[in-house]
Amino acid sequence: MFEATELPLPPAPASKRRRRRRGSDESFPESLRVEPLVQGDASLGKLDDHVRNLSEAKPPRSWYVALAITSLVGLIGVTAVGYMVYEGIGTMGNNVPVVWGFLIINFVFWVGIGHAGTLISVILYLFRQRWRNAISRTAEAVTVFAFVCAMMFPAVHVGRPWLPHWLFAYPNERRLWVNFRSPLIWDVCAVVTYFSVSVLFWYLGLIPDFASLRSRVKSKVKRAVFGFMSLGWVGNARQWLHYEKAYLLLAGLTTTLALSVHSIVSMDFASSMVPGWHMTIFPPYFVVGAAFSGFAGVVLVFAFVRTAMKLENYITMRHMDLLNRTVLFLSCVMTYAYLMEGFTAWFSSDSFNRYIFANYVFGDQWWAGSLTIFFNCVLPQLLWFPKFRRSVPVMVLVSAGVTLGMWLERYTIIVLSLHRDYLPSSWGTYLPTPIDFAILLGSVGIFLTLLLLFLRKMPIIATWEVKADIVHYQTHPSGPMEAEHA
Amino acid sequence: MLEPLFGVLALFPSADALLKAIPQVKERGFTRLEAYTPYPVHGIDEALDLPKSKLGILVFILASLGAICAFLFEWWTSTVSYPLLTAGKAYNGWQAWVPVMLEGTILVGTFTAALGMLFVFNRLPFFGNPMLRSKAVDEITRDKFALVIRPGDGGLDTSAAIAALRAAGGQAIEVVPAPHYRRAGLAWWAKVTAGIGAACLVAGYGTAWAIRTFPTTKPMVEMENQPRLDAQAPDTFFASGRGMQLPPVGTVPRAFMPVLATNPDQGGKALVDPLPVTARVLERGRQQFDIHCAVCHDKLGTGKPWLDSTYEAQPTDLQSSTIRDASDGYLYWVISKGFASMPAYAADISPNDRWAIIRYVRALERSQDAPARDVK
Amino acid sequence: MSVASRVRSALPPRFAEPAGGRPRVAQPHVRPPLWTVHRTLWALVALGGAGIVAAWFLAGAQRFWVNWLMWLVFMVCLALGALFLVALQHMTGARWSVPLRRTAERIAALTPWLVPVAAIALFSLPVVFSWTQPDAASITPLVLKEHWLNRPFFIIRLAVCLGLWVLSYVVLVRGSVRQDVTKDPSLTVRLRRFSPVFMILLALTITDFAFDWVSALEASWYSDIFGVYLFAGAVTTAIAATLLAVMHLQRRGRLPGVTGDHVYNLGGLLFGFTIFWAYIAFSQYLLQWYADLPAEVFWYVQRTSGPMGLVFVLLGVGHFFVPFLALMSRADKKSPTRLKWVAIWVIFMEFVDVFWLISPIQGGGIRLGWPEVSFAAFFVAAGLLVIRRALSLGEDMPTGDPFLAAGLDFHLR
Repeated sequence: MFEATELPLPPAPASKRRRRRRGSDESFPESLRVEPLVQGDASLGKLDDHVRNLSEAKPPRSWYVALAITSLVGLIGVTAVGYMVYEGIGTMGNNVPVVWGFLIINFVFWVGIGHAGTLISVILYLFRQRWRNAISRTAEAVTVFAFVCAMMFPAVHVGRPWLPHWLFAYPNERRLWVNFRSPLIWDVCAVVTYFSVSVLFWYLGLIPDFASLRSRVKSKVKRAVFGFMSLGWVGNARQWLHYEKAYLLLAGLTTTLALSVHSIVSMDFASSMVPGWHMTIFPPYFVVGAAFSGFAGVVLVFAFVRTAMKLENYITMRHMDLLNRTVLFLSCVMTYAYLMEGFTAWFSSDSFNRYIFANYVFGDQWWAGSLTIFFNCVLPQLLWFPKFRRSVPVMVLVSAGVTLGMWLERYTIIVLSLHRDYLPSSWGTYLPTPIDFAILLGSVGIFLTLLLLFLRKMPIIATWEVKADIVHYQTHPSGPMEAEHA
Repeated sequence: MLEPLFGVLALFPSADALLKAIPQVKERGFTRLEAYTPYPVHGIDEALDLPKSKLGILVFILASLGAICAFLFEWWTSTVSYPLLTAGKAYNGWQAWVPVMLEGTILVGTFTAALGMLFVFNRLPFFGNPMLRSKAVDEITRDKFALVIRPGDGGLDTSAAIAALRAAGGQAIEVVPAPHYRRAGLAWWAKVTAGIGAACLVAGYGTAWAIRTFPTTKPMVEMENQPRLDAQAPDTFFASGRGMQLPPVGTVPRAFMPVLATNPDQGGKALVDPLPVTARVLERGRQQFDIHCAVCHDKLGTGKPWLDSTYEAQPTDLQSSTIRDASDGYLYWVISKGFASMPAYAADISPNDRWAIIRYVRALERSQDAPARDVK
Repeated sequence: MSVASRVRSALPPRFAEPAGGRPRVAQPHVRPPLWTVHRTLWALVALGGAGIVAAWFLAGAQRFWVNWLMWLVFMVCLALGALFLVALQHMTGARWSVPLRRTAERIAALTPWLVPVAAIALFSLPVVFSWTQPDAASITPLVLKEHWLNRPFFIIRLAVCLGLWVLSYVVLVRGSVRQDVTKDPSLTVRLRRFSPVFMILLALTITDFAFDWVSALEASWYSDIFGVYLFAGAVTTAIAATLLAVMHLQRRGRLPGVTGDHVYNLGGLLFGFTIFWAYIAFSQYLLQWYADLPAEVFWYVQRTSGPMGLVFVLLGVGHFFVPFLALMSRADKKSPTRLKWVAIWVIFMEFVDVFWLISPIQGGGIRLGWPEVSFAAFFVAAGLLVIRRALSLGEDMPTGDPFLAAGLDFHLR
């Protein structure tokens, strides 16, 4: 009979042991040492069991409480949308001159959060960064759910939400096509493409994990569902060959897609002539901003999920450290973008440009611009210190700040640019209504509801990728000379 | 007789063990080998001599097609089917089509990569895979690595295969029977087609019935029903009781001086053509005549209307001596105020254009009855 | 046993340090002796130099300085791009690029030579910069930029940039070369700490350089992204140059252990940055084309209409589509011949890019004649001489780096 044999594992790299082991190398700098990305007595079977347990076992009461709260909040948002659609757009704060209010801010914000998954999962895959493996699945889920929220906003914002199909080019009785020269149509194409590709990519990664669940869940219904979702995957080497090729191709294409989507969102603004919107740095700057808020969002999610779901062995402090390094790096790039915006506004010697940027920081809504800079440029500088990069409270503080800061940045760009345009006689102010806030809050509720459901119903770690990692760290004992790349 | 065979399977505890076992099994003359692993194992494609995936070529071709189609579609809609000028850009401003073209490329490319991998190269979904019925499949998707010896052209010596696998270190050796396929017959396809058709019918008629039966709430009623005044509606706000107010007495629209004469003869004396004699005036007159007058008076002013069959009135022959002898002012009055069944054109034709039309009518008259000196 | 010695023992035997001596890798001379190439280069320098002098007298000051500026910008791109690659390796802690780092460091040896070239370029100030012309005082946008675009501040900024670049070069490259001898892993730590600082300095200085020396030639024009545009081109060129140098050394057997997989990765980087450059270039073009503001679009009108329009098309095809299609598949990135030609082509296209940016300020079509050829001969030959000399800088690979063994052990999946 076949004996289930667990592979022997190297002893846990407890810090004391390691120091003794390397006792003779006093000269070797501690900071060059590399921790393995899988810790504790991990094994393929244990990982499998852990992930299966998470999706099979009865969730704790706190999960139900959280789900109740978030779905209630989501419901409030849906109700607010319903009221707005019934009553009319006047229930929201946008009006001439600030015709793009909360809905577009929220749209850009959620699209930005939605870049996390692809960037982590895809770009880091292309760079063969092993640390993406354990976090990619949840990051992709963040992407999909953020896009669900994001796509709600333009759909509601078009004015007649019951005619969303008019956004697409199809032969119709009106003999009209959409205007392909309009950045808003580019946006529709980009967002729809991105959403469908994200879902596709997510599902593709899930197939082997569904197959793994199919084999072991106890409930017959779940077995049938997972069996169907896994499409009859059996892990044939030939299947894996094509599978990895497809994964690589998807990664390459999706990287271009991720770059293009937020660039196109930025062109909604930048192709206009509104001072504060028309800037050539907008496309890369929006992409970096999206990645920035996305990474911060993922740090926030993992700061809680890591311990709550006992994933410390697979999502180690080193993962968090690397995520926080990325946040810091992106913060520096954002700072550069802000500097360039300000400098070029001045350098353009165009009085409207110069005024708009002074208005961001010194105008009647100075807090929006100033807090943006504080949260996005100043606060993340804490992460230069290794101690803070590994401190959960600090990373939660910074990431929450960044998330808020990136929302405020979109507020600054949209509201503060629109309320002062070329014609001083048409200057105005913007005041959001409770409906605006309810819709924003509702989107957060919907996002968290979906995320909570995912965390307890789906395989939240790409086990087939982490399994390869486990074997890698078993066969390559950790050390400074270790080849980390896949 | 032996049961039809899918293959003989053995499990290995690690990828390394599997990679070591493959050449050993090969040495014993088994060539049709398949490996099953919980994660992609590198080096296994070389060990099994698997050919490289051709997926990249497929994706490249289809993605390029996607790019070309997206670009052509944008070009066709924006310049041929519905030419639209935006922001003063040329119809062929290709720059603005690049973003959607890029998205089209990526959409086609990604879906080709994913669906091509699943459907074309891996032949999934496939729930009839005999491996799914093996005992080992649960271990393979967890942490074990399987090697399967498939029968070659001459079948498979099961006991030799078992021995080879055991010698290579394989455990839990299992003989996997071949699946019993049933080909989908005509009746099955008929049933499926009928089922889909029935579902479509039910859904379509059901939706139509629901829309007719249940009243739908109009959304955004408040936007449609906001307080406003329609042009001719009564209203109590003003003393006049009208919604729309009359202009103050004596208000004259710009460039529309009213004709004060009460009859054509009076007008004929009072009104004088103010326009200079230029080709431009005549050209303008021709254009306006063709727009407003020719439909009844004919292009030559002969009074033979194009609307013969439906229009019963007899338009005046502008070539007649009555008109020929009438003064310009007389004609101006008639155009402005109307005459007999001819309506007034004061609201439609500006004063200068009226004079230009008259100038053109005079030219028409001269063209049909030219004095001899004109011919010289 | 120290870590350094353990690293050495982990290395392939050809790295084993001979007793007492420097662990110099034996170099089999497969190619003809060096001096023919060397002498040709010197001849080219002499010829080009003569042509440059002739250009000063015969072609007019404007054309002379435009050419000088083009080569200054091109050199800055190459040198800073190479420094960026070095710092990137330290910052990310990537293993695979460790064996190739020395090659990038050697290309960065151009950095100190930027000082004389830039110092001479200062004399072009009154000739080619729109804001120094006598009529600048009557153009409102230029007057409003006076606080930035004035001679003292301009010279100070250049001095600061050059100082920081040379300093970074000394820290990054000399530090790394010193490690060959000392084998001190703490140097790696220090370089890793310095790299993020360098990145910040690089971002600021290359932007300043792009605005001052390219964009300010037509000072009423502005584009936020311009610094990143130049940066993207710079890194693309530097990767291509590193690729060429690596393959050159590899052919001579001077990089034992560096396999096609390492080169493949460089090819991948080249591919990525080609896309990045195209992305930045196209978004800048699209946005200015779309908004059609007179203050911006005149710059593109000059560069996309008339004969310059052909260069614009060449740039789009050559700087993007050619390397993009040539490096698309995995096999392409592994073929040395293809990589070599693509690398040469990309470097050439980067010069076309610089030409397209700077040359149109003279007006009147494409200025391409014997002065341009002389400048090209002089700077290409002189640059190659500098890099060739630098090829003997330190070891061929950073043998003191504790991650060298891990880097050599790199295999694609």
